Amino acid sequence: MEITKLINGDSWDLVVPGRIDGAAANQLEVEVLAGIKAGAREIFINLSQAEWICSAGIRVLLQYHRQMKSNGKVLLVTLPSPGISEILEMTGFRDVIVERR
Amino acid sequence: MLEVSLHNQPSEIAVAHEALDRIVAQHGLLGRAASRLHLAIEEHVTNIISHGYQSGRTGTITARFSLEGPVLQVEIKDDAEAFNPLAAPEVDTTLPLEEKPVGGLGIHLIRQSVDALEYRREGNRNILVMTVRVGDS
Repeated sequence: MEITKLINGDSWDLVVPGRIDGAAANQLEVEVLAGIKAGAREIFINLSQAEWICSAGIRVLLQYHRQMKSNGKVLLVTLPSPGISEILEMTGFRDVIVERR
Repeated sequence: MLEVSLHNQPSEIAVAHEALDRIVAQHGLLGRAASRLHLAIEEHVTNIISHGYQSGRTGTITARFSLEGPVLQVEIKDDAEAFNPLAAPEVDTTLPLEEKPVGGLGIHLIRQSVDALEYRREGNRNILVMTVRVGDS
């Protein structure tokens, strides 16, 4: 699974396609940590092309959303596909980690 | 109609996903029901592998798929320690962010994703049957 990185100054976009299983969740964490280490002020996780996300992936999103927030920074999900929206809604985290537009 | 077998290694969960993909392709199944079953399989098999076996013990997990009309079902059987996911407590997802629990999320997603869920123990096997209705999106 290939995560596409789009970097614009200190704003990062990570496009995560397909099925975000346990292995993909680990990959996502690696990319998020790279962004944090590089000093990103905002990290957007674009899930428009993702089919589903497992609990390990949701935990990664939540952990780093909280961490960034506590440092005055931003990590949010953008453009969730219908399948992803449905899953985030199930967990009660949708309003927390999805970018408001 | 299709049964696959895997060892208790995370890299082998793909075997079950591939089997479901074959059924979806073979029968031209549409809508998000199959995705919901993929997610439930990911969560349940991950739990079995992570928590079901004492360190170093090899185990076997089988996934048997069937499709009858709009009813797509998978029966997952494992030889891990006895565990009934249906007996796990419900997760309160309405709590504010600071209190939102992350434990138990996997079982919660299984419950929310599938249309029917059944557990039984037979001898030294756990059996979880998960069902989705295809075509309802």
